[in-house]
Amino acid sequence: MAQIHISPQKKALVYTRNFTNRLIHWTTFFSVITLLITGYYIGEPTAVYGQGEAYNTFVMADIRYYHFIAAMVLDVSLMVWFYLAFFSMSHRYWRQMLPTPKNIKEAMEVKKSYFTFKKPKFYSHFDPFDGLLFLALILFMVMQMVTGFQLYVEGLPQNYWWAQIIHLATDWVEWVFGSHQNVRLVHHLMEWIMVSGIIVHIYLQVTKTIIWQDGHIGQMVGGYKYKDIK
Amino acid sequence: MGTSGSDFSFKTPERRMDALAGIKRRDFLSFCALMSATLGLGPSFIPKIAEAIEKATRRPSVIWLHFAECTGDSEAFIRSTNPSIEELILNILSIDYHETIMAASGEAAEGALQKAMKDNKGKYIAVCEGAIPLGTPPGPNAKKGDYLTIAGKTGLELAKEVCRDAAAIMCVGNCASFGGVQAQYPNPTGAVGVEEATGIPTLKVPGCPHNVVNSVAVVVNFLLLGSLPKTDKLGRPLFAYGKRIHDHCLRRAHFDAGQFVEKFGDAGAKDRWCLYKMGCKGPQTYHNCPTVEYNDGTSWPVKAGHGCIGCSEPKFWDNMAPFYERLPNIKLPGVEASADQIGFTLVGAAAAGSAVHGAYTFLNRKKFDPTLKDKEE
Repeated sequence: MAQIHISPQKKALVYTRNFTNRLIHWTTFFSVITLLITGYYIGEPTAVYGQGEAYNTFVMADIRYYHFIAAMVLDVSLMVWFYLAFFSMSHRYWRQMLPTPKNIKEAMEVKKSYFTFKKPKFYSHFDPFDGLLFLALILFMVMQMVTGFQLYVEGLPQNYWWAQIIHLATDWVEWVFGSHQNVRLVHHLMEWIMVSGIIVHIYLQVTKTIIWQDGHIGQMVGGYKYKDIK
Repeated sequence: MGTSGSDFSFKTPERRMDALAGIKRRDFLSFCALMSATLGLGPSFIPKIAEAIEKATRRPSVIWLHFAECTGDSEAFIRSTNPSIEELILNILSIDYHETIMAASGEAAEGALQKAMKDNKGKYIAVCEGAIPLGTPPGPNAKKGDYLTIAGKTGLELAKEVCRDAAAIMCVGNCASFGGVQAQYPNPTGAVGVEEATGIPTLKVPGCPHNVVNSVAVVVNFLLLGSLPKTDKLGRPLFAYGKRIHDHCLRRAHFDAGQFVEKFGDAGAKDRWCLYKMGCKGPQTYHNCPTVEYNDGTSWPVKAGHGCIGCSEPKFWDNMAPFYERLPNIKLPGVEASADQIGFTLVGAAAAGSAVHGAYTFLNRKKFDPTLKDKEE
């Protein structure tokens, strides 16, 4: 018989994540997963092959199409994210993500708590350690966006206004990385760095939910998480 | 096209060109049609092109300079069949100086160069082939650019002297345009393209070798409109370099279908599937190979079964290498690895770190798990 455990610690439910916040998270989640899978195929087309005659088979074309759609969805959600970071009515989170000395010090304390298992201070949205990890992931996503656009624009007619906007906005990328092949390389390598960042992110959230028993993952679904009451 | 050449009527009564070289009218008009198509003009321009060539009071004087190169562009030039070399030399161009194909040598040859420059000052077309080395060789009395010396002058001096008074400068081949193989890392002779060496803007017709149809189309454009064609940001004419190889490739359907050659000689290669996985650089190369093709429209690399190596792009020996891989390798001090190897290492490190910390957390579960504490009590 399984025992029902009732925590001796008194807890209160706190509403930490509003609907927009959760929507952005899951939009990002699904588009990044799509981008990872389709992007891997575009970089290394394997396992799935076009069957039959080429006139009626569009494996690569379809996968690239989904890649572009997911990329556009991610770009829009990133833009909304950036807007809310500065102008949100409930929580302007940009200050908590900057690597300021205060944030780094607090992040180190949170990191220490993963080894001492002493519960750190309650942070309503994300702790500073996560804040810095999210900053890195967001910067990688921005990098993926500009390098991705630089690769995408090659396939557009050059006089098309949309292509010209992309050229105007992202041509500096090729200059920074030296050549078009290097842009491709950076886009590919950055994805692997992001995958490792995502592994760390998921691991930390699962661990936090288990060791601190505050419904940490649940806040991304329901919006509430537990706060200890003394 | 539908109409045969004889349907066109011309205002010029004397068919000077035809009589001169004994070239058939039909051949001449098919050349004009080819030029019109290459320049992206409609069939209505064919008589205008023919007229422009026929009416040219004097064929444009061309001074063809050789710098550090393999003469491959001249080889491509003299092997052109449409237009043929005699057509080119006798009708369309007046090649006053070309080190490889001229009969004169020594002082007579240099005299021809000086005469052509003096007679056509500001009117001739300078065609440059090959990169210009700017480095200083080791040894006594060596001066800058001594790696290349022609008739006592360094390549840089010669280029500056000829290009200064030219009406137009055309760089043929990747060497003259962007430096080519000589400028590949570590570039011992300090070779650079003509524009970079002289500082004079040039029109570039890169390729390894250049496609003669494009080079001649530039000249025809010059005759027709009196100006050089519109170029992209690298100085390459848009009619030839405005479109990506990948978008006009004859194997593109197989790319979209997800049918790729895995190995040279496999079943996919026999079915002419896409060469993307064999390191084809068509997706980032701008050239009109798929439509114009090489050697009188015979073939071009992808048609022949080999991936594009991006020979019309700047510094392609460095940037496009390795030619049989999609992505370049990452060179760190002491290590050279592919992006995937580094990526797998990173992902492995992240997973291993998570696993180690997970094990550590599990072993210390008594510190945070209240259910375990209850049991102890």
